[in-house]
Amino acid sequence: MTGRDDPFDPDRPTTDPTTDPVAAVLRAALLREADMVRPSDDGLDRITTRLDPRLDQDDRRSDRHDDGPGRRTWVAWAVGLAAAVVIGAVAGVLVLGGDEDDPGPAATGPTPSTSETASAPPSETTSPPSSTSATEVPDLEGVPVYWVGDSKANSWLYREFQTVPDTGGEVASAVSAVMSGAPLDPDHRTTWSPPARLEVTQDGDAITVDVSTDAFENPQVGSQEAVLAVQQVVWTATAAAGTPGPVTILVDGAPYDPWGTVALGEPMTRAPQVDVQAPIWIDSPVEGAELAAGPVTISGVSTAFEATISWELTTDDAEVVETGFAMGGANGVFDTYEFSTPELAPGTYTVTVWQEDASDGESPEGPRMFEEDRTFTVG
Amino acid sequence: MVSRPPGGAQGRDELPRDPDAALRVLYASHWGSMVRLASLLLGSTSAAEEVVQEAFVSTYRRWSRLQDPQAAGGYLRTCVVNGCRSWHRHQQVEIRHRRPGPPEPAGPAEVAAQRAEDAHVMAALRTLSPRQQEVLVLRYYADASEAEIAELCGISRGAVKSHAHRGLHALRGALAEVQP
Repeated sequence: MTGRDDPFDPDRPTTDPTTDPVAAVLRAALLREADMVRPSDDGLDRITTRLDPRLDQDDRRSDRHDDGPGRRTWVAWAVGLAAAVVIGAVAGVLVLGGDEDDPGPAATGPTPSTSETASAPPSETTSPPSSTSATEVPDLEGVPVYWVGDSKANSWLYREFQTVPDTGGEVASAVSAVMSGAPLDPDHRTTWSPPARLEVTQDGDAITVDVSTDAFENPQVGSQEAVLAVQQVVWTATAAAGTPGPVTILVDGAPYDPWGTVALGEPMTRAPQVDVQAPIWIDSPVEGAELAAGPVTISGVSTAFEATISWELTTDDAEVVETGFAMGGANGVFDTYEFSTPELAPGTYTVTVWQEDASDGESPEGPRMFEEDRTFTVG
Repeated sequence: MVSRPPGGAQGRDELPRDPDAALRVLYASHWGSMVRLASLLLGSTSAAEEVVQEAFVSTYRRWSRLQDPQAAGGYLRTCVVNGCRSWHRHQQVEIRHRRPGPPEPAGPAEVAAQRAEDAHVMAALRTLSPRQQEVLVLRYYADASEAEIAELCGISRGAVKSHAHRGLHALRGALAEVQP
């Protein structure tokens, strides 16, 4: 290690202890200091004592699972389906993207982080979406649905894996959720109104969404909002189908100009990821998730300066439990991040993730850029 | 002589799948080295033992979910470093006001002088920020690479560089200042 690669001091071209007296002195002192430490010899006993009450807790927990009919089965289903969705999406991209330079936006959709969902702790359960659970229709689980959400200075697409009513296959159900469903996270929203009629058809890669005009009852939709509304449907449909699109939105079978800013009727593909995808989102846990006691794994997708995002875990009394950093994608490249909280006692917690403002307060996003949060309970 | 530091090269001994058996093996191979590492990070052996016990508990509880049980040593070390960081956060005020002086010299003159010198270095180290201490201890005691430190601390490699650089610089200053 020489020259500018040296991690420690530009004035000292090497960290070799023989030439850095301070490092050498420190290393020697640390080694001797460590040698003075006499670890007690009853550590194993004390670890075992600490384990005992938790083992009891675990047993009670699994009893509870056995009580509820098929609670575990439900989870296994959700996990399996989420995995199936990924495999489907990946397979679609691999097959269809063979002779293309760009494998298609679906590659950046559900692929990176559904594996996170699939590997989520097996005890995770989610509240069913309130607006849809009353129906008798069977549900599809782990369906990627894109919602609109706001950071301080911008609006973005945020993905949620949801359980949605099966209205005729993965793609139709996902698009129906965008228009008629509700996000799990109350910070997210949709620009669409529930349409009386929605038809989704697929012809190879091409997806056609035909809706009735009442899908556009939302007035006062600005140009950015209109673009995001259209991209909500494009991203959701392509993610669910596992194809790059294109997606054509028709209104009663014809082109339409709903808000005076976007013309519908032409085939559209995904807008560039950096333009519409939220720089930081949380995939797991979902809002309102009920999790087993213990450490909670938080995962999602991000892009940030030097890949570093910050996180903070607070109780429902807004008391900070823990803070930390995690690594996702860097500088416009989106990639998954994951971190674990400490052991959590039963209660309600909120995890917040953000990118530190590196510009000394110049950013319109404020000191916590692209902040996103998620509330869950530990039982 | 000098204890073997818990270095970056993790011993990949075969670990049993059974968590209780694995706990005993892990304990036998890692308890001492982890308590030493935590002691250096915390400046307190009793606090270190608490943190390390908790790290073993976390590793045990996660046992069935560890994709590579052979990497349990690494997971354990991460838990120890994280546990020390949490401990620091809760103790920060106390630490800031505590400057342990050199202990009473004892034994032959050279040993006593050496102890005083080490205590002097350790006292200087404790004047640095917890993060700088963490990076320096991992770098110079645990022989962890820059990438390993970044992963252990959950910070970027750039941040590791800057903490190490500033840490050594501050240590140099503190040593000069506290010089007897």
